[in-house]
Order: sequence, then C-alpha cells, then structure tokens
Amino acid sequence: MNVLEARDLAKSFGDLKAVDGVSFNIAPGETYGLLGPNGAGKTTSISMVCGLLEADAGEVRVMGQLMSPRTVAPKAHLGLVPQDLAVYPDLTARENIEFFGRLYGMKGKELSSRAGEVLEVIGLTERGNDRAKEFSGGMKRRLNIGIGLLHRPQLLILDEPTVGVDPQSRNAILESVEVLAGEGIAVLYTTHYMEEAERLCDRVAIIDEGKVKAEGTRRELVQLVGQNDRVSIAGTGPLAQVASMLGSIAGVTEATSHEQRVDLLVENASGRLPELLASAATAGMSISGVEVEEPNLEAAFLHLTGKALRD
Amino acid sequence: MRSLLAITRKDLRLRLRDRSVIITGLLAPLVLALIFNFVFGSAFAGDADFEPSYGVVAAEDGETARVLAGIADSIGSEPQMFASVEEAEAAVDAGDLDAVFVIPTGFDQSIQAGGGGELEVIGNVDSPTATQIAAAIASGYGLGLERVQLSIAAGIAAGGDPATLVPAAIGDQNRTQVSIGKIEAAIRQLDGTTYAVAGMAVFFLMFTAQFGFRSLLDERRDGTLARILATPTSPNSVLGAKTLVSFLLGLMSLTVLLIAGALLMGAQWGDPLAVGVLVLAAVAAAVSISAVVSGFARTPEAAENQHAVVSVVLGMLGGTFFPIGQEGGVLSTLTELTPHHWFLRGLANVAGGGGLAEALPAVGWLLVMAVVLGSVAAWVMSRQVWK
Amino acid sequence: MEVKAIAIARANILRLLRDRSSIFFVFIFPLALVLLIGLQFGGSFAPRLGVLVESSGDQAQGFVDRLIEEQRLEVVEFEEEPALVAAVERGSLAAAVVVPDGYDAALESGTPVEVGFVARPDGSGGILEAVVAEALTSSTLDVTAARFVVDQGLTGFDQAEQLVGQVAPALPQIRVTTRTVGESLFPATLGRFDLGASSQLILFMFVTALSGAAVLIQTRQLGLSRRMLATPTQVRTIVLGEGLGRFGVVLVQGLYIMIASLLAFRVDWGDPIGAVAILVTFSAVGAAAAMLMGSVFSNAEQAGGVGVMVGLGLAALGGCMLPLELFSPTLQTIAHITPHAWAIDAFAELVQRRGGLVDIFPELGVLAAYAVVLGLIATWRLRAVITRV
Repeated sequence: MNVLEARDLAKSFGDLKAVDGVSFNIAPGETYGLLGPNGAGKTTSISMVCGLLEADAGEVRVMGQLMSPRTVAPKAHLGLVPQDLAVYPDLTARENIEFFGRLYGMKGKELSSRAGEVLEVIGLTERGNDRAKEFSGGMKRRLNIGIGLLHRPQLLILDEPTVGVDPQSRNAILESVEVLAGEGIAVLYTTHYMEEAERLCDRVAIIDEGKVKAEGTRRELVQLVGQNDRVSIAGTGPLAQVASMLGSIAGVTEATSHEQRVDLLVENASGRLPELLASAATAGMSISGVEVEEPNLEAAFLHLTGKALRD
Repeated sequence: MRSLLAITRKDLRLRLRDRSVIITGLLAPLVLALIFNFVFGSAFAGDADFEPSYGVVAAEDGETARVLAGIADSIGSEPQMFASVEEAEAAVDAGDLDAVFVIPTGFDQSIQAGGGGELEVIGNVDSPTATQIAAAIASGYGLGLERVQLSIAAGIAAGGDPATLVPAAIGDQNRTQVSIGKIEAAIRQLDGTTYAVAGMAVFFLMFTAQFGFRSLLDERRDGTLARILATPTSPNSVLGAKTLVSFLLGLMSLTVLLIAGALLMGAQWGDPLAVGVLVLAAVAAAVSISAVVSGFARTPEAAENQHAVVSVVLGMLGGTFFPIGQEGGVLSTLTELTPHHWFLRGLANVAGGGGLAEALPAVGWLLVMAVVLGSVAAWVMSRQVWK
Repeated sequence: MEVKAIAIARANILRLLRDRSSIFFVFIFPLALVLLIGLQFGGSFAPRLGVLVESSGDQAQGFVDRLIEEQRLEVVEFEEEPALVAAVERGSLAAAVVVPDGYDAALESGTPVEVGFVARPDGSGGILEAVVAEALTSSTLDVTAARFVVDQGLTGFDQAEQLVGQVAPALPQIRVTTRTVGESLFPATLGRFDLGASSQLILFMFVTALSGAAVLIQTRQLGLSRRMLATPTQVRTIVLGEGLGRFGVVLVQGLYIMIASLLAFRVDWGDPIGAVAILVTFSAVGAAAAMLMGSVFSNAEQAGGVGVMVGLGLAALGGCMLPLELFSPTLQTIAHITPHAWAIDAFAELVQRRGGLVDIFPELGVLAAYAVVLGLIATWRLRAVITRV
C-alpha cells in the first residue's frame, strides 16, 4: 500500500487557483520530490496532505486512511517539517521535542530516550538544554527536522527545508535526509533547488501554477528533453540563419534563435563543440560566449514550463 | 485528553518562563491591592485622612463662634478665625480653606433676645463635600437654637418662669429625642473596603482570563499552531487547553487578590465554601467573555485592544469603581449583564453571614453567562483554529 | 522623517478602521460607557432615598413630608421591608430610611426613638445621612419642644402641643444659607461626584491607550528578528509613527464618548475647546506611555499585565476613583505625580469653576510635558535595545 495517495487536489483562495488538480503517490521508503518555483502551489499541496487545509476537491489518503482537517488518526503517520521555523523560542531544544512527542502519544522514559536519540541525529545533543531562541538559523532548522522525526513517521514531509540556510547546515540537512531515506522512511521533499531534487529524490513531480507538469524518475524526466546537451551560443549577427544552418549539422536535434543567442540541443556536445562554433562563425555570427548544459531537471523544467526554476 | 494536558502544561511553562504569569497573576494584583489600600484605606474605614479645614468669621467671640469652631476642630483641624468676611472669602478662594462659617455681628445677642438670624456658609467650589458637611453643621446648630427658643416660648405660654425655663431649655439640648441607627442586619452588603477589593479583583480577573486565548492567536501567527494540528491532535484539544490555561491563571489571580485583600486591608469575605464557588463561577464567566473577544479578533494586537475596551467598560458598568447610579431601568439591566455585578452581589449575600445557598442566585447567573458566551466562543474559535 | 511617521500612523488607523470587529469595539461597545456616564452625570441628579414607614401617625408622616420637600433628594415610598432591602442591594436606591412602629407614641411620651438608616457603600452615604438627620430634627422640633414643656411639669402633652403650635409661627427663623465663592447659590448635587464623568473617561482612555504597547512590541520583534540596522532617525520614526497611531485611536475614542454623552444626555464637560484640549494632551500622554511600555517589555503578555497595573494604579492615585478632595494633603501631593490628577484638575477648572482654555494652560502644559518626556524616554530606550542586538 502506498504511504501517500493524493488525487486531483484542488484549492482556490478567492480568485486565485493555488492548486489545480494535483495527483501523486508515494510508495513506502520512497523519496519523492515536488520541484517548482515559488508560488507553484507546493506549500498549499503540502497543507492539504497534512490535513491542515481543507481541499476544495480531491482526496488524500495516508496509509490508506482518508486525511482531512477533521481526522486525527492518520496524522500519526506523518512528520511535518514546515517551512516556517515553528518552534517555541522559550523552550529548550529537548523541551520542544518532548512537547511534540507528547502530542504523538509518547511519554515517560520512552519519550526522553527517544528525544535523546533525535538530538543526536540532528547533532544538537550538546545544546539540548539551551533555549531555542539562542540557536542560529541552521540549528533551528535542524531542530525543526528533529521534531518532524521523533515519532518515527512513515512519511516525513519537508517543505523547502534549506531556504536561507548557510552551505554547511544545508549540506548537513541533505545528509540527514539521505540517512533517513536509507533507514526506510518515505520522504516528501519540496524545493525549488534542482540539485537537491537530483541528489535526494527517487521520483520527482515538476509542479508549476498549481499543476503537475510531469512526473517520474530523474532519468524519465530528463529524457523528456532527450539525451541531448543544451548548448547556448551567445552573440550577434544573422542569428536566424545561423540557427537553421547549425540545425542541419548532424547530431544537432534542435536549433532555435533568440534575441542574442542561439540555443541548440546537441548529442554529445563536448565532442562537437569546436565544429559548431566554427560553423557559427563562418555563418557570420560574432560569438561572445558559449554555455553547455548537460541534461538535468532544470533543463527539463525549462522545457516543460518555458521558465527557469529560479527567477 | 492527553494532548490537552500536554498543551496546557507547555503553555503554563511558557507563561511562567516569560514571567507574565507572575506579573499579571501575582505582582500586579498585589501592587494594586497595596495602592488601593494606601489611597482608599482610611477613606473607607471612615476616618479622617479627610481633614477639612474651616474658618469662622465672627466680629466677637460669642457662644456661636465657639461652638462652631469646636465642632469644626473636632472633625478637621483647628479653624482659622477671621474678623471680616472679605478676608475669609479670599482665603477660601485661594484654596487655603474648604469653607467658612459666617456669623453676622450681633447674632448671639439676637438669639438670646429671642430673635432670629442668618448664618452663612461660604465654600470652595473644589470642596463640595467639605462644604456640604459645613452646611450640615451650621444647619444642625441652627435647629438646635430653634429648639431652645421654641421650648422656652412654649414653656412661657404654658405659664412657666423664664428664669428657670432658659437654663432648662439649654440643658434639654442634651436630651436626644430622635437619632439615626444603622440597619445593618437587614441589608446584605459589603463594607467599603471589601467592596473596593472585590471590585478590583474581579476587574483584574478580566485581564488575566485573556492569556490563554491570546496565546492561541500568537501561535497561529508563529506557525506553531499549524504544527500542533499536524500531529494527531484535534482542534478541540487545542481550544480546550487554551481555555484551561485562561481558567487556571484567572483563578490564581483572583484568589491571590482576595487573600491579599483580607490580609492587607481587612476585607471580610465570609463562608469559604460559598466564596470559593463564587470565585469559580466568576472565573468561568470571565474566561467565556475573553474567549468571545479573542474569537472575533484577527490579530493578537487587535485582541489586546478590544479586550482592554471590553474589560474597562464592563468593569465600570459592573460598578466596581464608581457607584452605579440608581436610575433603575436601562442602567440596572446593563449592570446585570456584567459578571462584576453578580460577583459583588454574591459576595454581599455571603458576607452577611450566609452560606452557599445565599450565593447560589449569583452563581447561577454567572454560570449562565459562562455557558451562553462559551458556546458562542466555541463556535467562533473553532473556525479560527482551522485557518 | 515626519512624513514616514505619519504614514505609519495612517496605516495603523486604517488597519483599525477596516477591521470590522475593531469598529465594534471602538465605537459600539463604548456606547455602554456613554450610557453609563450619561445616565449618571447627565442633566440633573437626585439620589433616591427609599422610605418605609411602619408607623401610622402624624409625626411619621411629617418626617416623610419634610424629606419630600428636600429637593436634592428623590423620595420613594415602600410598603414592605423586603422590597426596600432588595432595592438598596440592587442599587436602585442610594439609601433607605425606616420609621419604626410606635414612632409617634415614642415621641409623644418622650422615649428616645431610633430611625433606621442604611446607605450603599459608596461616597455619598455620609452626606445623605446628614440630610436625613436634618430632616429628622426639623420635623420633630415641635413635638420635642412640647415634650420639654411636659417635662417641666407645666401641662399635659396635648395642651403643650397646642401651645407649641400657637407660638411657633411667631418665632423668628434662624436660617442657614450656603454659597460658593463668587458664585450663585451652591449647586450641591448631593453625593454626586460631579467630576465623575471626566474621571471615568480618563480612566478608560488611559487603560485602553496602554494596550497599544503590544503593537510596538510586535514591530520590535519583527524588526529585531530581521536585524534591521537602525539609525537613530529610524528609531524615532518608529516611535513617533506608532505613537501617533495610538494617539489617534485613543483621542477618537475619547472624543466619541464625550460628544455622545453630551448630545444624548447633556453631560456637562465645561468649555468645549478646553475639554477637547484636555483630551488631546491626555491622549498624547497615554500614547507616549504605551510607547514607553512597548520599548521596555519584550513580550506582549508582560506588557499587558503591567499595563493594567499601571493604568489602574495611576487612576486610583490620581483621583479617578475617589475624589481628590477626599485625599489627605500628603496624598494629594502624591496624586499629582500622575497625569490623571492634572487632567482632573483641568476638568475641575472647566466644569466647576466654569473656566476656559486659558485657565487650564498650566495643566495642559504639565500634560504636554509628560507626553514629551515619556516619548523621549521611549525613543532612547528603543534605540538602546535595538543597537545592543
């Protein structure tokens, strides 16, 4: 049975359709990513999945049980790590953890020993008795994650956990998620950073404007753009002609001209690069720069939505 | 249930840590009790921190001047003597004196000759009470004189001898024919001090009862509410916890105030059981009012504001600080809509020596308030929790 | 700088006015207060005295008639004690008098008799008792004199009474008149604290003003969390802006109550310009105090508790609850540490002495000084706190 099944979720706020028909499933132990820019509807979808927001349409099932703001039982299977650092500043790290633990029904020795374990996992054992308000941003984020974990949920939901975080903490967070995934927890990870989705996720849904544009493993998504590298030659000159000329070269599957550049999809670009550049120059283009991108999710995203992931 | 208790514990711990509980639940009420005692204590006990200062204008040092000066001295300070009205008026106008008695020249002679006269009291407009007291003194003195004259005249008409009648009539003034006695036993009410302490205590309760609900709004803003709701915790547990926190903090502050009032100011409460039940009912009513106000507020700041308005207006309507005019009708009805009024009434009934039974009507009304408003609040807040 | 401050203030006020529940609490709920003030202090006022006459006799009736003649009271006659008692307890009577059974007989036989009296535990009890005592004495003058004659062994009671009746009218009167300095006949609304309206208004305004501290604390918390680099100008702007917003709200509420009670109930606030001036300066004091509290406390719950304590404490010390007149001289001096006492003094000048704006310049000056000093301390304090972080 899938850990999570979301089907045709929709939510509007006034005239704004924040989520318009989002569906995805997460299998046990799977790390699933929701990749999309700000405002794509990721957090709204998450809220519905967690039972914090009433969906206008569609349904969510957690471990087969129907989830909604009114149900309580299915929430025990979820661990939420929200985007806001929602911890109590005047409670210590341990107290924060233990408080939420109690809400999950843990108590006594079980609770305190589990809290100790969690503190160790997130690397805050020495600061366990310090008040959360004294923590740095990164430490607060780690605490945030710890709270999501402590009741050993089947599904851990992380909503943009690395936004505004220094590189060191960021890496620590990503490593922890990998460790957790390794232990068999299913993870739902939303982000607008392609590298994170690439690194962590088994499957990714690309989401934009409230809709899932495409879904699949990294490989499957990338294949949407083909096995081709993206080559972008910046410059001036008769770019349209240059583009059509380059497009006829073997190995070039696509060539489009834009205002000050020519974009190409090329098989094995590194090998063909000298030839491409020479041909472009011959065709009258005055070249100012070249970019080569191997196929990746960002390319896939651009291809699917016409936008960059980060604007 | 366990979630409710866990949240309650967490909230109480947080409130203790930020010392707000200690400040609002203990420190503030104690300080206020002290201030009230300082300011009102003697006024309510009836004795003179109130010392009116009077003057007497008399051309000669006659009987009237001496008697009036003597009375003035006994209730205030030694009166100043003046020879002219202008001087005396100037002193009153300057605020040096509260009022002066003006005895016209020849007043005593006229009286002794069986004639009439006019006494005047000139008062400072800023001292209405002192002036009214002076007027009462002068009037009482005048009536005494009239009594003597009338007695003598009637005696003479009955054939008596003036020589014996005059001293007899003067001596007869000591005979008190009518007097005023207090009907304490018949009417159940609180003495001044107790009334003031009780009024202030219940007024203050309205502010502490707000705490739990305020934190609900804060948590919503800070994102921890969403977090709590993501756990298997029902919104009702959350509401229940906040209500319980408000209740406990309100109970604590009210109890502290009542005890402090008794120890520091000598307030008299009566049967502990009855008072205890009244306290619980009053706290319940206050909590439900706070809940309604918080329920309709969008932000914690708005809640704070609105709460202050409601608490002060209800407090005033409930007669906690000022005597509520006895216009009957609208005002009486409005008063009866406040928990303050019923709490004070219940205490009054109990203070007269009654037990739980005496307090029950008041308790009843307080609980009705709590239930009605509580239901409204529950409805409003459950919508709020889910946003 | 000022422009930005005004913008902050405007934003605050707009926010207030757009919020429906705020409107209710700013304008509709305080109508209850208007009603309270209006009914208590509007127009003329006479405390109600309940009278229960258990004896049927001329003397008893004479006493009651004498009470009825007293224009400063309103007499309400009752048939039964339970109703009388209930009325006093409820507060629909200020005091009650019980004329016992056998009143007439006692007077005629010369036995001392006691008339029962009880007043509600507020300030007016003493005066009402004095008025009742006076009525008692004057209504029993005749019978007392008659009794004297009998005691002297001169004649029997009925005869004595007759004689008294004959000589009394011929006797010259001893009158007592009362006036205030320079004024006409002493107004004397019995037992009513004529400055009560302004005292209640001031108490209300100050306590609600202090609740605004929470807003500044919130702004501070957000600001601190983002670690704004605050220049001194910016701090001043914040304080001024938030303060102006608060000032506006408090002033509007105060004016609203004042005007509504004036129009609906003819409550006397004295010279209008002077009254408005007092409200303006006092609102400024309240707003500045709120800013100071907002800069001192780090959390809104603390501010709330202390705010009420300070608000009520100052009100009590300042003479809002018990008239300043009844304070001892020492206490009166202490009272003037509070802005409340100065505001009340100003109102006294307007209402009791019928003064105008010019007459209250000193008080207004003191209030303005309070506002400025508190505001400066708030600014200084806020600056210190922000740069420390």
